[in-house]
Amino acid sequence: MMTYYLQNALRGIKRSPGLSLLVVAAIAIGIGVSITMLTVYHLMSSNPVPEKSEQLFRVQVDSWDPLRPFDDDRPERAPHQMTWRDAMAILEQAPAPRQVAMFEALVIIQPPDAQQLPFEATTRMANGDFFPMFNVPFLYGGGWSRHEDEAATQVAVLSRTLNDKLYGGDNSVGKKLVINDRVFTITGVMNSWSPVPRFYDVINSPFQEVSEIFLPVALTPGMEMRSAGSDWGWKAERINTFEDWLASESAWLQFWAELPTSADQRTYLSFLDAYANEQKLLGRFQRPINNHIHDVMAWMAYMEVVEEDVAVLVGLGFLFLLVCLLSSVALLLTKFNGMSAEMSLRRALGATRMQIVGQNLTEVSIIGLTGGVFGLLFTMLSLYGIKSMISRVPDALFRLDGTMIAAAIGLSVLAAVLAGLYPAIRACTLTPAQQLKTQ
Amino acid sequence: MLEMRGIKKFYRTEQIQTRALAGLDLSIDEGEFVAVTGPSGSGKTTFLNIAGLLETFDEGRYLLDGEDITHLGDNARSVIRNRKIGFIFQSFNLIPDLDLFDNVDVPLRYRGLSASDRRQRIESALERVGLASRIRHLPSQLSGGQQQRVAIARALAGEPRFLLADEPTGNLDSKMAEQVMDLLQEINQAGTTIVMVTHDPGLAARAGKNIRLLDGLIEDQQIVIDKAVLAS
Amino acid sequence: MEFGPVIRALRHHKTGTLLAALQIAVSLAIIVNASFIIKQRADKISRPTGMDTDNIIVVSIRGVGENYDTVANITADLNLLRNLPGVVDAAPINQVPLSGSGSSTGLRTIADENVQAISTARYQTDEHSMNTLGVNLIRGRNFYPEEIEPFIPGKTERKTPAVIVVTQALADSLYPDDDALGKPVYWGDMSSSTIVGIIDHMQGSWVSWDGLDRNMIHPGIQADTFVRYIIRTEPGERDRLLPIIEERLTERNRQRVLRYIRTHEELIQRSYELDRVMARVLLIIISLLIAITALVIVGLASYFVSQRTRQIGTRRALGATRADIIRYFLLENWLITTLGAVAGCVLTVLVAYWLETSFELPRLDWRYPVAGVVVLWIISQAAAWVPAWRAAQIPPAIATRNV
Repeated sequence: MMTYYLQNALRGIKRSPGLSLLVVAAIAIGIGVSITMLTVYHLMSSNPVPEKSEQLFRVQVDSWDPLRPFDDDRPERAPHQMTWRDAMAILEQAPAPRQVAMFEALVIIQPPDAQQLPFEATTRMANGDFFPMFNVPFLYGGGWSRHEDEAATQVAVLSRTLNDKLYGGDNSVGKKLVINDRVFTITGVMNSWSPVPRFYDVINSPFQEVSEIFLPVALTPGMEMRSAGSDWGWKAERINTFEDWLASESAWLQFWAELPTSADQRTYLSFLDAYANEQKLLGRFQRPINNHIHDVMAWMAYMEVVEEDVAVLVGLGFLFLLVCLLSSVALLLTKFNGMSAEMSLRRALGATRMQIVGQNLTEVSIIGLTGGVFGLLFTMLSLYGIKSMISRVPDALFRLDGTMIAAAIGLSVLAAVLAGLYPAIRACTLTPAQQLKTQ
Repeated sequence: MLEMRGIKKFYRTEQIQTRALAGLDLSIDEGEFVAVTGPSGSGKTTFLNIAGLLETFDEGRYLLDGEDITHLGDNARSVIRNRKIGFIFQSFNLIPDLDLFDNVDVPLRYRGLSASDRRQRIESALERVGLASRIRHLPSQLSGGQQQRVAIARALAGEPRFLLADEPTGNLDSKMAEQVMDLLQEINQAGTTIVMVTHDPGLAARAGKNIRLLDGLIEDQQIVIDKAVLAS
Repeated sequence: MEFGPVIRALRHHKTGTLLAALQIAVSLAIIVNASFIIKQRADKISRPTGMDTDNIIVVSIRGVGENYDTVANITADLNLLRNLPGVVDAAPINQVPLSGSGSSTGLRTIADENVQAISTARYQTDEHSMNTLGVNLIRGRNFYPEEIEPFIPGKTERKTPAVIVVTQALADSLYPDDDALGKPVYWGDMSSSTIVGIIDHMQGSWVSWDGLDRNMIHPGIQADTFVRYIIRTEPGERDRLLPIIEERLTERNRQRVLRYIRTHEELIQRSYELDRVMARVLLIIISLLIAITALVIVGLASYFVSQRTRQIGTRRALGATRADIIRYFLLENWLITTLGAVAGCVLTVLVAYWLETSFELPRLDWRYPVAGVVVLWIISQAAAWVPAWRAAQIPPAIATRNV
């Protein structure tokens, strides 16, 4: 029966090619627009480390101004970042299997080929726990050890892109590289890694490529590395030297801890509170105790990583799909109206209602499927178009994944079937005799 | 073969109720060729639609081939239409973008027959109406008489017990009408019961039995003496 | 032509009419709200900057090596830039307005930290900066050259500037009831500066910040290894000079990295990039929507015409002129569109309410729905014209033809 339905469906489509084409176009464009928006939204709100997102916690301690909260509009919030002294103290003392304190900076790299001019690269100053904690994939070698952190050894991890640029993609582990006039040993080259959102640092743009190079955060004082990302301060302090800066109340480090069990989390929080109380004795932390840990997805929500504009576009995109659906229903109704004589005849010749509905739904599904396929092409085109309008975003933000492809096809067939169901049913409720006489 | 008892049918609109059949009693035996006549508005079409299970009725009882179809649901009625009844319409009702083969195939498809069985039935039905050579033609490439013969082939292919014809020659010229009537008589002689609605007394006279409807009731019923018998 | 018969005829096609009207309604809601957002973004992008942004080039340089003499390099660079033919002026600056990167601070008019400070972006630069930016100093004075002191991190002491220049917007926030000129302001450490000049208007660093117009310029040069220059060229000379400047600065000292050299225009475009993308995407959505709506109207109306061929023929036979037929179809279309538009206005307000409450968008201006309805009228009438005209071509003889 299915092949017979298919044959008839194709014939039905051919009989009114204009209307069929219009329905396909309406579905394709509706799907294209809504899925494009949904893809960006879906990726912006996706979980970048599903395997660990409930074990990784963003750490906040409230070291802020006794007179004013960090965020006047949301006074319950603690500062988003940590001061150098707090980050270093917590890194050293806190009970967690792994922790990382980090910030973004800029370094000057002298390429191994001395003929080439030095260039600037984005760097992340972090400790070695960063790599195992965030499941960073390596192409060659690996990160550095705690021992190297403690000794502030001059070691570096390169991104794959930078390794390609400097060493033509060869294994550069063990090679020496001059960074800010100092000689570093390369311990590893990361494989392509582009988490979306770039969860470990959503403050300095959640949708950006990973830094080109990673260096031990312990080198910060020696190299006098200043943050190239956001820093917040509340206290009027006279900062003349780099030591002044490190001792200041400026908050410019981001801090994460890996806390596998809820017991770990409780212990960790009580450590933070004890630390804050300790600081109070030293005259710091004059606000009420206000320390927090957020796991990855909670932190994404807290930082409102999804662009508002994208949410607006998703809403409008689905309204757009609704317009396309309404158009499709109207057009299909018209189309099936034009075929009512044939349907009546088939009923007279012994087709059951279900057979007629089946027939019509087959036709509608073909139209929906075609619309879905073209809708996907349209989606890819528009994702590409939007991407080319924005500079400095990772490609991964505009990638059509399996979920979205399935959603597009499913949605378009569903849309077509919904659009076609009423016309299909209405068409076959005509009594078989009704249409036969009126020619 | 066909038995109707007290069949009533009303058509209702918002304001008025029209009575189309007013308690029809009728019985037709296996192998009969019955012509139903009457002026327009007498209930001919309603009778045909009810007899062909295209429409339901409001009161009465209807037995077809010994089976009470009074309370059958839509699906069961579809199956009976498909297996036991063949239709021939005044305006042929062929599907214009299907060729002859596919047109005859339509009712067979809903019966779920095997492809070879269907092919064999379609070919022999078209053979019977003399159009086997045109099997891949479209209806628009045929004359009216030929189109009606295709419609007859479509009705025959399902090997129905019972053929319903609604003004089968109404859209044809007299020569073609004659051919179609010859074909129907031939089918009847081969054993198929035929009920034909017509307003043409000349055609009615070629049937074995005449039923005349007026205002939804049978006004007159007569057995036409077979010309062959008369001649002998 | 009367409404009565058209309406009565439509009542027999309830489903089709309702669907078409509903489609118009949702379209209206999208078109109106999207246009409103586009307008806001366009307004945001086209706000006056107060600066000669079309003729400004921005350079960022980073010195390399322990021995890099920051002050000497800055002096030499500025000397080079200011003497280039075609360059109006050049200045070192800690941050570039409208670049998305900046530095902010809080100022008070009373030396009491319990008083809420007024936040402002701050620009540390020299006496050439106002001429370079092309801002209009309406009152007071520019800095004197002797007020410009270099600050070398780790070597010199950071000092509170004695004098500052502020924008009118900042002056009004600080001293809403008084003339700010000559008055003191207090920094976070309660050291003070005197306002010696007022700029009528100048935009700051972050385009989405509501304090964009509150800016302060204070004298000094941050002699760090990172340094930024702003360069103003003669009108029309910018693009010619850009590669020349790049070459000269690179040549002057190869022991450093030219981080970037860009036109100010490009930096500003980047700051508004997402606003522009939003506006473009919405514009595309509106265009597609209008196209779909028009095509569907053509499709449906064509079908109705083909269905009513005989009826139209009969009307023609009974004396209807071609114009009557066209008018009938246009009127029918107008009625459906208007029905949709009425429902659409309600829907538009609902969507606007959703946007306003969920995304803090401003309240919808009532003129937008009105304009939207007019646009839909025009589009749907234009779309219906094609099938209506075709209907008018149906010959009256159809009426007598047997099918």
